[in-house]
Amino acid sequence: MNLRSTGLAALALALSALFAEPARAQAPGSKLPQVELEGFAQTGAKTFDDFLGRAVLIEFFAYW
Amino acid sequence: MTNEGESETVKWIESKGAKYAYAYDKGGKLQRFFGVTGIPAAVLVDASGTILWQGHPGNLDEGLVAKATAGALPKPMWEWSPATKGVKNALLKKQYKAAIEEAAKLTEADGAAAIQSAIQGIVKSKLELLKASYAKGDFLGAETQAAGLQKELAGLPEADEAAQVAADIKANDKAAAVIKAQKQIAKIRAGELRKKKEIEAAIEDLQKIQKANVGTFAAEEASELITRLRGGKG
Repeated sequence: MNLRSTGLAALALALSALFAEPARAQAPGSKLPQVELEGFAQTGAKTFDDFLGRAVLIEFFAYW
Repeated sequence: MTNEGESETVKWIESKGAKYAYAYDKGGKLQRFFGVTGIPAAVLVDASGTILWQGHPGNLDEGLVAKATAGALPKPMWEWSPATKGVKNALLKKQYKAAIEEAAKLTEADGAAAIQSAIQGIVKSKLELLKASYAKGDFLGAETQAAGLQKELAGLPEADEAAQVAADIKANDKAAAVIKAQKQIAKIRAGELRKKKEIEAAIEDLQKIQKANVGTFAAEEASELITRLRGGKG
């Protein structure tokens, strides 16, 4: 799928650790909170606000 | 799992040849918000910041992607022409009337139609979200959103709709008690509960709130938090 043509931005989030807290998924329809991310790379975005007006697929990732 | 720093991540990204945009969720704030305890995990958010889906990326449905991208800007803000500076500033300040006025000055070459349509979509979606919060009895959420939207939409007809929801909340004879209970729940949720005794006391308080607010959104919230404090078991 060509993401650019659909208006969908994909953003992967590097995690520094996985927490063992019980999962509490957000219900569809909930609002995203103020998002404070750092070190944007391979994108022209400097803050998450730069994605305003775009649909965003956020994928959490970590590596071993 | 890794506790590596940025330099290690960059090396890893380069070694994999990954080309996607990425960033760091330092402190795991967003991860905690979504309750992510394992990977892969993904979240789909539409153009207005509404969460549409959360789950394993392999299970993402194309229909949901289409829903998320309906009315979304075809180009990200950082690729807009210099002429859009006024729109960008207004959007980042969440001043939607100014954004609409600035967008009206743009030409088609600047992507005027798409930008105007996206702004209208964001305004519409924010109002829908507010009305949905009120309809499901989330009076605290609706009250907070209505207050914010009256400022963000000031000067637009939609601000009156937000004001109407705020007035409806005030006129609703059940809302005040539910809001009070929701604030108590929020306080418990925000607390750093570490010790077993603290968790047990919090569950007891939540059960009282649940009992005093049967059939309301506050009772649902209390129930969810009890489940979470018990370790995800029902």
